[in-house]
Amino acid sequence: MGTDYLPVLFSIDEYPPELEQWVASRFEVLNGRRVHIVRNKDFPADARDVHPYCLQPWIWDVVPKDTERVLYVDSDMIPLRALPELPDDEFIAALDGTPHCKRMADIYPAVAADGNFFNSGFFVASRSLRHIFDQMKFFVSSRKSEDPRHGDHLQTIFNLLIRSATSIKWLPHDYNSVAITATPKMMSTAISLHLCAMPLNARWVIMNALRTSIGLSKFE
Amino acid sequence: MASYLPMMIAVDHPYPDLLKWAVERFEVLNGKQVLVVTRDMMPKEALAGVTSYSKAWIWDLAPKNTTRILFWDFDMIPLRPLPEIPDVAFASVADYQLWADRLAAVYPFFARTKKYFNSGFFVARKDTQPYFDQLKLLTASKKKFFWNMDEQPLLNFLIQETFDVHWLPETFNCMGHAHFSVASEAYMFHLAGMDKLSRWAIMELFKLRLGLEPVHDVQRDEKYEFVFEDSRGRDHG
Repeated sequence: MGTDYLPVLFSIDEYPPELEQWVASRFEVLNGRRVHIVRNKDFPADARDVHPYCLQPWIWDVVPKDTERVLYVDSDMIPLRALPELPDDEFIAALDGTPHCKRMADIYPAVAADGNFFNSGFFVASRSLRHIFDQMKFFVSSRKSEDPRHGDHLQTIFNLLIRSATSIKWLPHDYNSVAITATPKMMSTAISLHLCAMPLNARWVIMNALRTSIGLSKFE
Repeated sequence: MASYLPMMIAVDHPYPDLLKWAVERFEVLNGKQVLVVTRDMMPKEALAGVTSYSKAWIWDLAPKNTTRILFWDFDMIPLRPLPEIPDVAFASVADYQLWADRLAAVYPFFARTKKYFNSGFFVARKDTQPYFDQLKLLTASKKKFFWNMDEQPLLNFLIQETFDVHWLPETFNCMGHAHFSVASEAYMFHLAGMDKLSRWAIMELFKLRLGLEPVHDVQRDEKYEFVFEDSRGRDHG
């Protein structure tokens, strides 16, 4: 397993093309890596009717066969600073906002063990974990993908299955700063800003305003 | 060119640095000093009610010789210099049409006006003062109006009953929840309708990158062109 990875972005769910271009370009300028864009048409037939937020299990079906490691980033995530070199672990993710980690630890004993929970908008996974992704497909197709208590699509299932299979390498929240739990101070070190859990149109409007205001420029 | 006094009510702003930046940015872009109203400047009766109603007191807070006020909310980011605003009694930007339609479905007044302004940004001439005074009285009455949706429908009612609102383009008050198509050329960007914490983190990003520079200076030298890797024909696995 090397430290190389393929950055992957799902351009689905009526993602505005100018934002797709901006996010992918910012990532490339900051990190020197071409982003692999996946569109609806790229998914296999068994994923066609799947909710757009539940397509991550198919990631290994939509990347080149020789890809050993993927870095998945959500389309509503704005790259702000260059990613430091990522460690050579089978699965890497960033801690979710502290309140959400605590909430999940209160519900799931497996999470309570260390109090860590990841937001699935950013992760690095090795092909050796493909069987976990295949298992997640089952949860999607059996319509059990949403935990009725907090409706986070696949995120909880993803956390629990990955925990059962490997040791997660936890990165600080900076790697995936969730806007709804972020403070202005956090923006001085954030590597990305994730506009999740906002109304869909609000994230696109904000990204469009930032697109022309910050362009491809780097943050100190 | 009709002048105006830019005014912002910033009672208990959670991030004074962001407030200072937004005000300075407005001043640099527009060459006008902003009157920032803080808690200690507010009349007691204005602080007794709901914060958003405090704009009812704008004419009491402005110097007596003020003839026109440009009011803007403290969750707005000045991005580009404002063009000239015509000398009319009241100018504002239409809010999300969905809100206007919902009000129109229930209240005959709004069915007649069809449009509904966002009260986070407006330019009001002195002749509107009696209607702001009326808003003060209605606030004091503590009655519920229009689904109790803060002051916005009520101010719409008071103003639109008497004046023809001059509708400004959405670029004057580009709302984060509504105006995608103009967000890339907005004069003022309004972080309306979103979680409070995310508003300030997003504003901080603009502050970090833009400082007091005009937006076009940031973009001027960017010639980078991204060529997409098309996944068609690749051997997927």
